[in-house]
Amino acid sequence: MLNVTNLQFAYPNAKPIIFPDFKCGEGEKALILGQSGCGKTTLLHLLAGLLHPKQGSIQIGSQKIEALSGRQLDQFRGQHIGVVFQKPHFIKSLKAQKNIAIAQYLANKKPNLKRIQDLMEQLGIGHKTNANVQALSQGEQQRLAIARALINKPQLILADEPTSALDDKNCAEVIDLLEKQARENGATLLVVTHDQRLKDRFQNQIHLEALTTH
Amino acid sequence: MNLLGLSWQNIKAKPLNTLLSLMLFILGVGLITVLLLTNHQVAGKFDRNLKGIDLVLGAKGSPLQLILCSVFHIDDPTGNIKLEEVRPFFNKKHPLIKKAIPLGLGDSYKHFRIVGTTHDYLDVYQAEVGSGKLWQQDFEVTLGARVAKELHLKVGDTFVSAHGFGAAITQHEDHPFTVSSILKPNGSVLDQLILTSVPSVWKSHEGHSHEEEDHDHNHDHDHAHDIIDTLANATPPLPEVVKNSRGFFQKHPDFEEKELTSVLIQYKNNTDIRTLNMPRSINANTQMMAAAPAYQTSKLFEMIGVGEKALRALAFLIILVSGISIFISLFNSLKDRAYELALLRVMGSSRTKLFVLVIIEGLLMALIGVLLGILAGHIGMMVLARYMQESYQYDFSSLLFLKEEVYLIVGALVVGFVAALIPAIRASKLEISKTLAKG
Repeated sequence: MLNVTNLQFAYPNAKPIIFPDFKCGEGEKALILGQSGCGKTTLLHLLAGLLHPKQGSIQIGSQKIEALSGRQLDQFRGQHIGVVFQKPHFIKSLKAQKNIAIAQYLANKKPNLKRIQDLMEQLGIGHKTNANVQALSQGEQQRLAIARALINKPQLILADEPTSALDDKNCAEVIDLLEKQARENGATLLVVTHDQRLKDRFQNQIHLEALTTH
Repeated sequence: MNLLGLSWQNIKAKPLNTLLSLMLFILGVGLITVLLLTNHQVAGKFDRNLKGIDLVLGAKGSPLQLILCSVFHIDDPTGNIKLEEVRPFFNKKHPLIKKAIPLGLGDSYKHFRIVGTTHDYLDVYQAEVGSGKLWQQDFEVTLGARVAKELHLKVGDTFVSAHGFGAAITQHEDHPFTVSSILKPNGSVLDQLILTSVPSVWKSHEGHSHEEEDHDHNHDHDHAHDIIDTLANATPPLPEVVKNSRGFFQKHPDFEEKELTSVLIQYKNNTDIRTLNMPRSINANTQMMAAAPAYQTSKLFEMIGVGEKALRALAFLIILVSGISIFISLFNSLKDRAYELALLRVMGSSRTKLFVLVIIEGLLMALIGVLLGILAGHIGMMVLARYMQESYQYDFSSLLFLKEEVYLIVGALVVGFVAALIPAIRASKLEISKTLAKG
């Protein structure tokens, strides 16, 4: 399902970062671990098509994403990749439900308010439909962010430190929800973190080291 | 939820950011709207009123004042002219003049001017009688539509005129006027005039001076009766001048000392070289002044035009500044919203969509601004119209919409587009990864 081979990335005027090859099957989950500064977020952005690799290949499903043009990649990302960030950000001018609806619109999916409501119910924020996003608690915000990442039934869910800002209780709940939703949607879940609390929950672990060319 | 909805929500979420741009837009557009409306209506009214009048004869003074007084009934008369002097112009056989219409001004009733004239005056504006019959004898009056409406006068009603055009100082109580007819709304100056025969104006003033002379005398004395006596004794019989201007051509002892305020003249042929020379010859060889309404009005508009141009330039400058203000507010909001824009990209938005999003925001602000501005302009016009009605008795509408206002909307959208262009380009070039990493 996800197949990363020979991946390298270079920031301008810096040595290239070399990433290990790895695979992840459909419905599987994996943890990407590593010290800060070793390129975890860079890898996640590469996988999401937000950065262009210097070389190497990222295959999601049957699609090699480096082969897509800018607009095609945007489209692909919107339809097949869901991203959850460490700090949940939203469009502040929109209410909770509309923040999910805009994801449907941008992925060229038909607006489906029922699916939004169902998903929000499942994540325990069904009563927050018309809430102001800034009025939500941290845990609620992270659930809303998960709802947004899942709304278009993506093949791949990328989560960047989704739990590091949460207390133990919320941490467990959020990672449970992520796993459950990924499983139910048949999506591959990739969690990038240095949060030690998650280590025991994932068998499939990819360790990034501060790898650079020598 | 789409781009338009999102733009709208973004504007709504931070009303203070857009307030300044909006206020400037409203000010600029409002000012232009008022200018457009006033200009259009003043020009329209002037055109309507001077059509059919080629030349005005009056006492020497300011030619513009003569025109404003005799054609538009705004200014005061320049003085009077002797009937004897203008008598030749009423000649049916005059080679150049098709029609000469006498005007006798000086009195008013509740701010509406009473004009002594003949039925010919109504033909100039193709006036039609709405009810009653045009005046047939002295002290019968025909009211303009607006006069009748505002003063609630009907055919058969009577009133007493006042000397002068302003507030009643002296009233000609011994000569009440009777309404014989009311004109249909005509769109010309006739709407706001009270028309009667020239002798009615003469007689009410005779009564007036008489009253002053006989100040200490018995007030119950019937002046009107006096005049009727004088008229009865007059020989030969007075020519018919109540309805027809031609009567003024005849010599009559009663006319000798009589005066008119002005005479409106229609040429037979505008291009005849003798016609073109006539005003100059009148001005050079007589005690009177001849003024051409078309020329004087265009001169007036040229004079007002300078101020109007300056105002218009100022208004456009304000709109320009409001465009800059839209630019700044969008540009600033991009900084705050960089992460949101990056999020939109993560959710699948293309660069083009972000570009369009910001452009729509600029257009929306401009559109709201221009619509509110036009509204403000029309409200302003309503206030101004009331003021102008009080001062000049001229009717102005605030519910008139001009095609220039459509241009104004299009122009405003262009301003909004240009103002949003640079912010929109920046939004479309946003580096997603870097922005997200900054958090």
